[in-house]
This record gives sequence, C-alpha cells and structure tokens, in this order.
Amino acid sequence: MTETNKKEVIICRCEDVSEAEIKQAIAEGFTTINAIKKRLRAGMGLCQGRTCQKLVARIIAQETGKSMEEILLPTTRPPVRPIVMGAFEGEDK
Amino acid sequence: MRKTAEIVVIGGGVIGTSIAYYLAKEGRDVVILEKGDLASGSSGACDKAILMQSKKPGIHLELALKSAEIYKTLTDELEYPIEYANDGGMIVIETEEELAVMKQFVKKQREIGLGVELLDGKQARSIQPALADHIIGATHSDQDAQVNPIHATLGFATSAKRLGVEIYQQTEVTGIKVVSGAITAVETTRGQISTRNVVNCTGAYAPFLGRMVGLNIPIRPRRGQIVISEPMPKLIKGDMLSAKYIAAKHNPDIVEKAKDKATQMGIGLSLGQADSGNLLIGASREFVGYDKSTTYEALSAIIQNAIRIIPALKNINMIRNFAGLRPSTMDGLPILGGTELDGYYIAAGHEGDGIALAPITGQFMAEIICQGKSSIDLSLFHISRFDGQK
Amino acid sequence: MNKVELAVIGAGPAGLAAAIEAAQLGVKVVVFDENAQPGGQLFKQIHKFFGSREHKAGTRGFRIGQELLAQTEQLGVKVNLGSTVFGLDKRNLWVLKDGRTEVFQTDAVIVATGASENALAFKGSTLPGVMTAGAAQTFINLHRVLPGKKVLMVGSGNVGLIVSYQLMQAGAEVVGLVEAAPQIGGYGVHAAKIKRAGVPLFLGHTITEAIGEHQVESAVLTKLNGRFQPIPGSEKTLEADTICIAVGLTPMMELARMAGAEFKYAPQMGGHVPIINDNMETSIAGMFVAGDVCGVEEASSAMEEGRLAGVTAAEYLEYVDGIAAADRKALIREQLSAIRNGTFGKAHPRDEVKEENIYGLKSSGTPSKDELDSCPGVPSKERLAKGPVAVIECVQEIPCNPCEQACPRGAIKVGKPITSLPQLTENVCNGCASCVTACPGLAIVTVDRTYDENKALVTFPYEYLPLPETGAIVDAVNRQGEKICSGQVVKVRNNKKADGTVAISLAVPEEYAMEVRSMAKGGTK
Repeated sequence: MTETNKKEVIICRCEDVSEAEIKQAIAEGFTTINAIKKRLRAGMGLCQGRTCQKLVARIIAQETGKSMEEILLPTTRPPVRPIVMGAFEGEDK
Repeated sequence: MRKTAEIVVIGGGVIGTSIAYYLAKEGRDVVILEKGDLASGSSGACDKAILMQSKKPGIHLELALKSAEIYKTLTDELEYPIEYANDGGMIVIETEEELAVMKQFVKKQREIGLGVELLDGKQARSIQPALADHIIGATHSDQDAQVNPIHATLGFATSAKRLGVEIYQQTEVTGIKVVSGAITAVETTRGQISTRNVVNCTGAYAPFLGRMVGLNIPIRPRRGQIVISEPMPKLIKGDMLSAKYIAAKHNPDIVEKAKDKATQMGIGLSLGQADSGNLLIGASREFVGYDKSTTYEALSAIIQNAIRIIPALKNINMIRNFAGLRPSTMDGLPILGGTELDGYYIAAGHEGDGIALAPITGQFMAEIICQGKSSIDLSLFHISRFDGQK
Repeated sequence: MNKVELAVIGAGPAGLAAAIEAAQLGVKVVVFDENAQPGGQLFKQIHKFFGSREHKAGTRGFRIGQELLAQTEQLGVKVNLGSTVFGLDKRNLWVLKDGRTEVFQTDAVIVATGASENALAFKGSTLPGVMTAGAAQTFINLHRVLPGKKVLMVGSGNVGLIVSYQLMQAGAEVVGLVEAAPQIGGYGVHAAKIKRAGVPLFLGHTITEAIGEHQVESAVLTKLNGRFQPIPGSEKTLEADTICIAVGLTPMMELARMAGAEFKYAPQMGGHVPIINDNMETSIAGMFVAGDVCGVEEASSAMEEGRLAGVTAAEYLEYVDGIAAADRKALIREQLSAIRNGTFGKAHPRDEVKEENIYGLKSSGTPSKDELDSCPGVPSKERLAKGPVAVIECVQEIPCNPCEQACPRGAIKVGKPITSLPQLTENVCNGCASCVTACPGLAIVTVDRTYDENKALVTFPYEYLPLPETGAIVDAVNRQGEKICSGQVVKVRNNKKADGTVAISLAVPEEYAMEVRSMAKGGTK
C-alpha cells in the first residue's frame, strides 16, 4: 500500500484511479462513464466496474451537474463473473 | 458550440483525430464532431497491432510502412503515453498447407522490402515460449509494432486541442447542407456549423454520412469479437496472428464456402498483451450489419482456437469481451481523398488496419485538403474506383 | 444445446418462491444459482425475520432458505447450485458449471439475481480491514471467522444494524455506528438492540479517513452540516481494526440488461431497474424479474414478487388460464400491499424524509417518552402495579406480527394491516413471557413490580453468549445501554421453541423497573 494511496481517495481499486484524477479528466472534457474508463482505465479492472461505476457516476453528476438519470451506462456484456477460458473446451456447440 | 469552421471533421476515432491534428499543424481551423465519446466506435474496440505482415503487398503495405515509421516518434511528438512498442509480430503456422501459403506471402512481402523471415517451430518457440508443441513454424517481422489504440486516439485529440482544434462530443451530425454543388453547413443535434469542408471519418457509419449528400460510399461493417483476459505477467511478446487469419483476411472465399461454424465466422487468432497485462484475444470476421453484440458461438470458437495455439490460456480468466465493426470495402483498401462534391472528403474503410494506417492517413489527407493533392499517388484509394461497380 | 422450460436465475427467496409457484402449476422448472448453498442472502441471516406467518416470520433467515429449498425439491424442481449464469442472450442462458460452459435454451426465464452492496470511497479506504457489511457477515455466519475485533459500522440501514448486532454476537466489539442522515435508516427495533448493547451512534456524521500502516488502525469521523458537507474541525478519531460499509444496495441487473430489457433509473429502488408491468414482466417476452433485482426491498416482498412472476410465467407457458391466474395473482398482490403498507415498502420513495417522527426511536435508537406513552403495547401504571405483564415497546409501523400468534391467551392484537402497532389487552395478559422470545425485534419484556418488596423482576430477551448463571449479579442496562444498577439473575430460560432467544429474568431495584431493558454483555461492562 503506497503512501500516496492513503492520502488520496481511491475510486477504482482495481486500477488505482483516484478521485482527483477523475475530476481532472472531467475538467478536460471526459464527461461520461465510458470516456473516463478509456482515459483512466477506471472500470477496466478485474471487477469490470462493479465496485466503482456508481462512484464514478456520482462524481460526474457532482462535477457536471448532470442528474444520475442522464448519465449513460456503459454496455453490459457477458461474462458477469470471470470465467476461466478452459471451461469453453469441448465439441463445437 | 461554434457557428462556423473552416473544416469540419466528422468522427472522433483514430482517423478523425489524426486528420484534425495534421490539419491543425498546417494552421487550419478545424472542429471535430463526435456523436459519442472519442474512440467510442471501432477505435475503442481493437487489438493493439500495428502489423506490416498482414498488409497486402503493394501500395497498402507501402502506406503501412510509412505509417509505422511515424509511430516510432509519435509518443514524443504528441507528448502522450500512447503505449507504443516495437516488439515484432509473428504469424503462426500449424499445417503444411498453411506453410505453403505463407511461403508465397513472405516472398511477395520481401520483394516490397518488408523485413520478414520464415522460422521453424523451434525458432518460433524461442521467441514465444508459450506456443503449443504442434506449431510447425511461423513468419516473423521486426517491423511489426504495437500501440494502445484508445490512447493513440486521445493522443491525437489532445495534441489537436493544443493546436486549437475544438472537439464536440455527444454531438451527432443529422444533415449536411449543399447549395449549388458546394457544402454550406453541417447540421447537428446541437445546432448548425457553417463550413465549406467536411471530412467523413466515420468508419463503419460512413455510408450514412455519404447519403446525406447523395454519395454512395460502399463500406460494410465487418464485426470482430475480442476476448479480454485478466491481467497476467508477460506471456506474449508483440503481436501474434495465425496463418488461418491471414487466409481468411485475404481469401474471403474460404470463409464463404466453409461448412464449419468457426470458419464461417472467420475465426482466426489475433493475440496481444496490453501494457496493463490483459491479453486481447481475437477474432471473428462476420457480416452481421451493425450488431455489436458478442455471441457465445464466436467467443467459444475464439477461445478454443487460441487455447490450441497457446495452451496456457486454459487456466486464465476471461473478464470481458467486446465487438468492433471493421469498416470494410470490397478490395480491402480504405477510401481516401476527395469526391465529386467540392469540399467533401472521405477517410474511411480501413478494415482492420485503421490503427496502423492512422498517422499516414492523417498526413496524406491533410496534404490533399490543404494542397489539393498528395505527395504520392493515392488514386488506388480514391472512391471513384467503385464507379460502375455494384 | 440444453432445453429448459422455465429457468429461474437465482435461488434466493424470490427465485425459490417463483420456482415453487410455477412448479405447483405444473411447469418444469430449473433453478440456477452460483453459490454452493441455496437461499441467496437468506443463508447468511441468523436473525429472526419479520413479516407474517406466511412469510415465516419469527424464523431465522437461514432456516427459511432451507425450508424453501425443501419445498422446491418436493415439487420436482431441479436446483443447479454452483452454476453461474454468466451471460443471457434473449432467453439463452450461458452457464458455467463444474468447470464447463453450456448454453441452455429456455421458453421462459425469471431473473432473480438480487442486489449487490455499494462501495464507499474515502482516504485510506483500500486499507486491509475495510470491507462491506455483507462480507463481514459472510465471514462470521458462514465461515465462522471474525474479520476483526473492533468494528466501525458505516451505515444505519437494516444491513448495518443487523450486521452490527451479529458481529457482537460473534464476539467483536462495535465501536460505533456512523450515519450521514440525522436519523436511523433501518428499523428502530434493530437500532434499539445495538443501542442497548452500548454501541455509540454517530448520526449526522460520515467517515472521512481510515488510518493505519498496513491495515486499519483507526477511523476519522466528521460531522456533517445540513447539506451533508463535512464541517471542518469536527473530526473525531476512533480506534478500530475493521470498517464495515453498509451504504445501500444496487440491483444486480446485468443479465436482464444484456438481454436487452428496458431500464429506468429509480434511486429509491437502489439504481437502475428493469421496467416491468405489474405482472413482473420485462419488456422482453418471456422474461420476468422478481426480488431485489427490480428494486431493493426485503425477503418477504421478494418472495411475493417471486410468486407473482411464477404465476405469470406459468400463464405465459399456458399452464394456467387467464382467469385462474388472475385469481392467484390477486391474492398475492394483497399480501404484497400488506407488507408494503409500512415505511419500507417499494411504494414509498425511500429518499424522501417523510413526515416521520425524526425524534425518539429513529433519531437515537431509543424510543422517546412520548413514543412510549402513546404506545398501545405498553400497559398502564395501574396494571403494572398488579403483577407480571408484558411491555411491548413496538413504536414503529413495520410489517410484523409473530407476537400476536405467540400469546397463548390472545392478549396481543396486531390484526390487519400487519404493519399496525401491537395492542396489549393488559387485563388478559398474565406476563407469561411467551411473547418475549417470539418478537424478532426483541422489543418485548415483561415487568413484575410485585416481585418483592423493593425489587421488580424484568424478563428480557437475550441472544449473546456466554449466558449468565442463575444467581449471578450482573450490570443491568437501560435502553441506551448505560448501566443503571445491578441485578440478580433469577431465571435463564432457553427453550427449544424459542430457537436460541433466551429469556433472562433479572431482579432489580423497584425504581428501575421501567428503565432496565437488558444486561451488559458478559455480565459486567
């Protein structure tokens, strides 16, 4: 655990993205959940945003004045859990 | 939003941002209109390959080589961490038939001047220890490189902004006004911009932007599905394709005539490992319209195909997948240049080569737009080549 | 390719209730759940549930799960545990089971995947020791491991209140409970339990930092102003080795969403929820939802929604005609609205601070004098002077009525709706204390002011270990958990029927008869 980590508020724990970085990105024009994901990797980690997505949305709402309702959700895709790739072996299904 | 602009670039992917950047370097007044976020289209759904080996020998490969050269110093030029690396690329060969095809391919490529060698199984495994035992050989080129396509797009965009380009996201173009054979304005969901110049960089969606001015732009979306793994310690060096992928890419008949599902979906390996450690495992090649869903069949086939070549993948988790739409033309070459409509330019249709060709596309399109023509003959890419064809 | 008539995704209360209902109507049902144990959230719940008898009120959560599972098995429903549905493509389920993936084609599907806990970010929130309340609950109730010894709970909804209580039962100390709002979010009786145990409540506060070298060592709380902003200079530091986050749940709607169901944003339901009609149907034909996934609520309403979805699915699959289905649904809807009549139902926008009493129970975890004076379950001074009698300090309308059934003499009436406060017929009541161990909220005691010349006997419910010995002298505590006098343990009743809730009778000085409501954990503070 780094000393800087303790001083910052970490929003995306999987990819170590802080609240300050997110606010900075929003100021630079990255104002959707997806845009912040592309810029900072928040939501690209192991949990695929299951922990941080709502937190990121709230920060966007706070900084841009958009309502939570207006904030576009990223595309939901399978798998909803990490799936070991060897599980797919077998005959052509 | 601005009311006027000298040049309106439509499309905030790697092509649009690259062109805007090079235009801005020439001192032009440019605005980018993007209906979603930057890199929210195909540029945000790629792998990381800047492959020379997969290009058609000829002008295609020539352009790619020029583009690759630009990439070498782009990180510094854009002052943006685009995660560029020159780690080489490999096309793995599993059967004698594939070996025969690749031998021919390599011959042609070397004639053009691409540095590529044919390796046996042992040599291949010394570069990629994770390769399965049955791999009988591979081609390899030091000139193949890698980049993070999202960061490349954002890098171009950031530099373009620094040079004065304004970027409007969440702004969709709804119409293009033409009066007496000249463009007068672009209509959007956020208002109108008066302009005389429009660059259509909308990739798979280019035909829609063409219809707005009565132009037929023969680009079809070809879906590619990609699997993303959890982050792993370094497993794969550089880019990897399978000879099967090359066969599918350059001989579309094989796909059309195939009986088995995997070949019908155009499954062939494309593999890379991001700086973050995630493996990007592809890919399919399917004509399914604009459907960007991922399917069980394709994902299963992609994964099984990849495990056959890299057995270690068996124990690694998939955490996500996505699909991108390759903007496809009938001859596999992009459409670059002007059109019969004064002021209407196109830079779209790069198939799966958009990332590799983005820098050179930006450069040449800027030349065409600013000087009326490019410094090399790009007539093979002109839209008029489709005239008279269905 | 496997074919299934009706697939139910999730073997929690909603999913199992749906499966039971559909199977009773003849449908061939297969349930999928990623866990090794059925029951969803139920299998970690060791406390007694509220609701009505039909909802198994008074039964401990995990037993409800077991009972539901037994019912599904009796009906021939196949329950695939350890089967993760990792994708849903219209009505095709992508399943991982025993290390192999398979696709199941279905004629109809019910998505009952529940909700997941929200995260909270603050300085140091990634230190080891910071976890969600649900994670701590899994540790203690499933794995029998204490995550830490000194726990700070953040969030005063039912999850925060219940898990705090369970952590204490497991042997941890809860050093405080933090809530940003000026009032308690969950049921008052849950708050009262932890208040009696002496847990300090910090209402109108938030956590602003977790401090520690390699793990949590202390936590910093800050007071909030009327606009929920931290007031500089108001920081307090508490020693803790664990910080539990209980700040709400969000529906786990990913499967329904990826299958293309339409959604809307409903903050009072926990976030994005599928748009449904009142038959639990989504915008996709043959796809239904039930339980927390379509709005965070509770187990009893989840079960009713499950039943509704089950009937609708059976109707869709033509196992029951429209009229019979409508009749069945009408009954179910009646139950649902009975549950939802209280403060916590989906019918009420939860974000609003209603014209609820924000004094008393909701603001301090202790009923106020006014609340007690006007409470129909509290006997009069005259009755108290005559001998043992129940004192039902249930002052908040929640859907719950086990006390009514527990009384052998019919002296307690809740009636309908079951959210009504229990009324005590004080002259029928003889203070037998059957209700004391039946109340899931532990809100009832009996008081005998005639026990002895200067002593009163207070009999209260107790669910901690170790139990005191008869004759022991212990610290008697009031509703705020403060020691107010000593008491002598006269009787310890641990009836099997009471399923772990022990009735302890304590002789205390007469003047404290209406103040003593429990004893300090372990006997002395």
